[in-house]
Amino acid sequence: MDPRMGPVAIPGMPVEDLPGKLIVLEGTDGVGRSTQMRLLRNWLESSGLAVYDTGLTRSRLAGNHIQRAKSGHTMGRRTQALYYATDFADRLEMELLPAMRSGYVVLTDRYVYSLRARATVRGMDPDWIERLYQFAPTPDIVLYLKISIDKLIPRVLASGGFDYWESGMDYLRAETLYDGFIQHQGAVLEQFERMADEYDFTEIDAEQPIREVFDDLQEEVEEIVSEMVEVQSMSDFVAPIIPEPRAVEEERRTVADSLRDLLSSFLEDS
Amino acid sequence: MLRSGEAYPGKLFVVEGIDGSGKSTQIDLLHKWLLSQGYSTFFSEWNSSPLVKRTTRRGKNKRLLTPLTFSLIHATDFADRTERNIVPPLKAGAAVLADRYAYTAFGRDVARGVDPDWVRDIYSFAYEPTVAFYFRVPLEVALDRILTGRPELKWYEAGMDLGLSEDPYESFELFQARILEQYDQMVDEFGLQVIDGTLPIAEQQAEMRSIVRPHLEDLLRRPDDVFTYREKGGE
Repeated sequence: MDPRMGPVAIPGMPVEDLPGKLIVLEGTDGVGRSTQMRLLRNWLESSGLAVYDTGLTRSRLAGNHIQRAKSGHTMGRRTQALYYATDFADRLEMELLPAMRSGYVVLTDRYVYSLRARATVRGMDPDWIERLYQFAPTPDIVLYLKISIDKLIPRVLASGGFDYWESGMDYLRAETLYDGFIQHQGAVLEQFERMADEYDFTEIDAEQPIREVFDDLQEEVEEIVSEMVEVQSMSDFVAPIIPEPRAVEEERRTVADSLRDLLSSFLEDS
Repeated sequence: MLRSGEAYPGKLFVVEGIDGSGKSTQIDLLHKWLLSQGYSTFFSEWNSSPLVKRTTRRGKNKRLLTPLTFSLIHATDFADRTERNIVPPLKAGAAVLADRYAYTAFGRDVARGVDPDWVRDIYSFAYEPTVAFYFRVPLEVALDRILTGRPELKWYEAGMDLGLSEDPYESFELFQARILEQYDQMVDEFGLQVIDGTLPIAEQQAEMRSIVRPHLEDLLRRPDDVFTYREKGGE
C-alpha cells in the first residue's frame, strides 16, 4: 500500500504505490490561495507536469446548504460536518486518488485541515473530527500560507469585503460581519497553528508580496516534484503574475455605482 | 461505545435485523400499542432525513456511492435525524421508536469492507437505546420471505456494488449472509435483546411488550385529540 494512505483503509480502492503527488495549499480565507494555485499550476505545466487542481471551497454541497439555510432547513453542526466529510470522500475517491494513480501532481486548494478547523470552531469534538478523516491520505507537503488578521483585513476589503460564511455568521452572534470575521478567523487561525505543529505544515510567510510568496512556494514544491521532472528554473519562468488589478477595480466601481444608485433612490423618495 | 441517554426522561426502542426478519411489522405493532395506551410517541425510520435524501437518492440511482461514501451519507442522515427527531422527543419525555439504528450501519458498512472501529467511532454520538431488539432468523427463512415472488432488487440493496455475483439474487444472499454474521457478533457487544423471528407474530409482539412495559412509567402522555407524527420515507 502507498505509505501516504491513512490509518483507516478505503474499501475497494486500489492504492498500491501511487506515482502522483499530493500538494496541499492551506490558509485562511482571503490569504491569496487561489492566486498562488494559478501560478503554481502554470509553472508546473510549463515544466511538463500534468497538474490536477481542485478545491474544497464553495463545494456543490456547501452551495446547496446555503440555499437550504435560506429556506429554513438549517443543518445541525454534526450533520454539516458529516455532509462535508461525505463530499470530501467523494472527491477523494473520484478525483484525487485516480489522478494520483495516473501520475498527476494533484494541487488542492484546502484539505481536511480546513474542514477540521471549520468543524472545531463550530464546537465539534476535535478528536471525533480527527477520527472521521482518518481515511484521508497524508499529503506530500502542506503549504500553509500564514498571515495575521491585521494583514488579512485590507486584503479582504480589497477583494470585495466580508462574506457571511467567512465571518462565521451561521454560528456566531456577532454584531456585524466585521466582528464576526475577526472572531471566526481568529478561531480558525488558532486551529491552524495547532495543526501546523502536529502535521508538520510548511509555513510560508503570506504577508510578503505575491511574487515573493510564489518564490517561496516554488522552492518547496520543487523539492517534491524534482524526482518526476527537472522543473523550469525559477528565473526562467516568467510568471503571468499578479491578478489583473483592473478586474478588481472594475468590481469596486460597480459596487460604488450601485451604492450611489441606492443613495439617490433614497434621496428621490424623501 | 454509544452515549448513555439515561439523563433524558424519554425512552428509545429500536428494532434491528436483516431484511425479511419481520422487524418492521413488529415495531409497527408496538407503535400502535403505545398509541392505544395513550403515550406520546415519535417514529423515526432509517434513511429518511429530508435534508440528505436528495443526495442519497441521486447517489443510489446513478450508482455513484462507494462503500465509504455510502457509509458517510448514511451517517449524515442519522446525524440529522438524531439532532432533529431523536434527541428532542427524548428530552421531552416521549417514547421514540426507530426502525433500524446505528447497528444497521455497523452491519452493512462492515459487510461492505468499511473498518469496523472507524464506523463505530463515527456513530459514537448516537444515544444508546433503552432496548435494542434484534430479530434473529436463519438466513433461509429471511431469504424465503423476501425472495418469494422474485421482487426486483435494488442495486445497493442486493450488494451488487461489492461484485460478489453477477446475479442479483445470488449477490443478495451472499450480502445478507455477511450482514447476519455482523449482527450475531453485535449481540454481546451491544447487549441486543434477541427475539426469535421465526415465532408466530403475536408471540413475538407479546414478548416485546412485556420487555417494554417496565420502561413506560412516567413517559409523556398524549392529549386524546392529537395524532402522532410519523416520518415519511425510508428506503
